[in-house]
Amino acid sequence: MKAGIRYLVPIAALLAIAALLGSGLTHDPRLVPSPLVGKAAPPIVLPEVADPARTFDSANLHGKVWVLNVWASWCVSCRQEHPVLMVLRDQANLPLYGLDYKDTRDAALQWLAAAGNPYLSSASDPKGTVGMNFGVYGVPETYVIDKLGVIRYKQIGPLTPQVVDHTILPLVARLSQ
Amino acid sequence: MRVASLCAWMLALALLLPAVGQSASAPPAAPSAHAPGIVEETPLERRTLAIAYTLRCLVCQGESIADSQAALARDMRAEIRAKLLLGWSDARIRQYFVARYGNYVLYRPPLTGSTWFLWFAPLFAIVAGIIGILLLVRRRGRQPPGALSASESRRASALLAAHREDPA
Repeated sequence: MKAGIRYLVPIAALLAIAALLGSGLTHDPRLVPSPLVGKAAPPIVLPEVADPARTFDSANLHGKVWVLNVWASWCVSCRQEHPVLMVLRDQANLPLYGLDYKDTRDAALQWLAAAGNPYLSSASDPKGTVGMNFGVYGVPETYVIDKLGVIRYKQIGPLTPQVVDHTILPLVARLSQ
Repeated sequence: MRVASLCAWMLALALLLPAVGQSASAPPAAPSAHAPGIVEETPLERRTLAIAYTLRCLVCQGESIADSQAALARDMRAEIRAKLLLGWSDARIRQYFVARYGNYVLYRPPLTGSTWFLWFAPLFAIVAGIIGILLLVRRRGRQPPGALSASESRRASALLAAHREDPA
């Protein structure tokens, strides 16, 4: 009996380590938690995509709960996400703004004209400087920003109907109260 | 004989000439400031790369932003260069990236509540191993030699008997 337990100990230890490492495999390594959640959103003062003579200033959105979607015409996952954004615009009555990340204005306008523009307005960030302040590393990214200008949620990668229905819309409803 | 030797000399010269010509006409290529991704080796660049090697690329994870050819890594190197020109310290530049991308960007994770095990696990393992070996050795030393089993004692007496009968 004693000898049996002695042999079981290393096997149990092996199984425990395998379970620990195995659970690690189920996490997506591309999802890095942002340190900016719970902190003030970096200011966005950039020309608008639709009319570069006008300035997109995030200070004007103070007092509103709004959603910032980082996108680009070259971004393949954004095309996958696009129908979800269109539904969000049509159904949810949510202030959805865009940050056109490392893109050219012509390509951006062409893409919006062809696919439809889900945004109330988009800011143009051709060099990605504002994107870097937001810690953007995988387009598309989506941020929920509260009335005080604090980032309350960050989605890395395309929005899905599930994320919108179960996370974004309830959060916005709660923050808007 | 003289003709053969002349032929050999001419052959050798013919083989050598192109190489000589090439080395004369093509000086070593100087790194161009306009070539994408290629920068000249300057003290600024060396410091930029030294910092870049300590930061992890978020796009191609597992590469430092000094190694990575991802657009974001290039942007981050440009940002390091710009901050160095502003006179920022290495630590301040690292902090700049940590504030945006989290501790994940650091290849050397700082000692925090969730990383202490990572830092001290090797030490624990070594200490536990040393203690384990010491316990094992001490227990083995204290154990009296065990009694022989029936078959062992039969073999022992057989050997002793054989030795007695045949004193070589």
